Amino acid sequence: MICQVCGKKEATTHVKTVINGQVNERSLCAECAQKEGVGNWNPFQSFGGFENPFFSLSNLFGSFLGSPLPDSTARCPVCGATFPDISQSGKVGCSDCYEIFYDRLLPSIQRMHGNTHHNGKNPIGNSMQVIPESHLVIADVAEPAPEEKELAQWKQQLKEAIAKQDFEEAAVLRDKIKEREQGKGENGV
Amino acid sequence: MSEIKKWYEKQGPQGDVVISTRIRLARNLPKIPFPARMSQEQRQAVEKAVKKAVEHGSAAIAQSLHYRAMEDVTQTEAISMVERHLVSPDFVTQSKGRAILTAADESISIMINEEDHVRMQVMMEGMNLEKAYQIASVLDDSLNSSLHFAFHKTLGYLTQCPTNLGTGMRASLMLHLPALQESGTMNRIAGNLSKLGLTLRGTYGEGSNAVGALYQLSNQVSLGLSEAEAIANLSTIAMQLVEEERKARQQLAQDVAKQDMIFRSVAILKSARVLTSEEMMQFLSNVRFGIAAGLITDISYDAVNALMIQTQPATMSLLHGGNLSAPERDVLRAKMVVEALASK
Repeated sequence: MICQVCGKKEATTHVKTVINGQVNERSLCAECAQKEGVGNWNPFQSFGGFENPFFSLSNLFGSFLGSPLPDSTARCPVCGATFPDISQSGKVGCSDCYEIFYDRLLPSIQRMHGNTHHNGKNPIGNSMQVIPESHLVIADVAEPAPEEKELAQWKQQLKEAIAKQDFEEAAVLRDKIKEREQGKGENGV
Repeated sequence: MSEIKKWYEKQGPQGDVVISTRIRLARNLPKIPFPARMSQEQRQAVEKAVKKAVEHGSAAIAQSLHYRAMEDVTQTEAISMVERHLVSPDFVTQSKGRAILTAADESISIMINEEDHVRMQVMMEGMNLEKAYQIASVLDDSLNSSLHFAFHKTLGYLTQCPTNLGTGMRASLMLHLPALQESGTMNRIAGNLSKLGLTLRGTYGEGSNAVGALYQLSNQVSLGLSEAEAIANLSTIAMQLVEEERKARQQLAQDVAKQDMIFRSVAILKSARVLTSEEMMQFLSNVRFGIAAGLITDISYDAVNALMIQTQPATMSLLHGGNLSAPERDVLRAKMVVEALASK
């Protein structure tokens, strides 16, 4: 489809607008979309962008020092995203991407928030509770979930088994921990 | 839309300046791509899992929510949901694999598969940050009791857009700032606020041209500050703005030209036969100011707040059945306003 604004280039952005309850659809090329300010908003670019993967200083130094260039084709095993996919779209592929591309995401995260350490609520187990009368006092409540408690117990037992050189017991524990941590059937999806 | 009074039909604390409070929490499920990279099957699986978690949640408020698949919602109704602040404009551009859960008074909504797998939102009248967060947090715990959320030991709750990392919380206040807007200082104020990690923008239209002098003040930073700190920060600064606005209003209310404009606005609203949305918002803004200044005593904030939502295009069409053309809407809008403001 050809861009409906310039009538020249291939349309890549489809814009749906709702004005006064009327839905209006248009197809624009990337250039016209950007002119109209409707392109994908990219937090990475608006916060100064990631280092250009081909011309950044760290790559230059990297190759001088003989270490390999950061692999721009490495894919997240869960969602298939590469780092360039993420930096171009401004959207992270899945929760695992944060682990896999952690070092490369961190500078941008620092720029966005001025911080890289979470300091708020944790999922149930060690959750923050709001106490209405005392203006949001933070208190530790609730025990860890039973599965997590059990997991911690196994890990302790594993350490002890290794110390005692009881490798048979250690192998059993290791498998149990592995199975639990991989979250088999987590959330049922 | 009937017996149960909606949150937007009431006024709350600091109601002369603060119209409403919104708390939004973003959550995602681990091991499943974020919405931009999800397959149709994964969308459906997440929809099912979240729906089940809400229904079986530990909190009563979660169990009372009403579920709708967006595919079963007409376009007019979907747009009306945007107008009533239940969902984001982006949410209704695509209905497949998306669903919404809402409370009867519309103060709670959960969007499934919007920008994140789960987005919980609590809206309340007036300045109600602590209470709204408390409800959102209970809702979060309720879902979390049967659903694991993606969480990282240093980055906190993981979100599709890294700007929401950490608490996943966006807290915002809708403010009515006609006097500050008239003083021409809005751009300077917005600039200063951005240095404090907050954003201020027009709710409808941008910057100094915000329609009806309505502005949205929200936290920008979600990583590094706790929910309580972010809320306290927003609250303190919002109160400073509220005080500034009140001071500016006191002065402006002495101006006979301004008083004239307020009373003319009331007169027009009470007797118009045709009203465009923009006109109405401007006049209602003047009326709000008039109520705050003690110049108008027979109109309540409740009535003004309710009109601002009920007379939005799609919501009106929905209330009165069938699609209305723009001229038909302007006539109906005038009728609704005249009725709502008639002296009792």
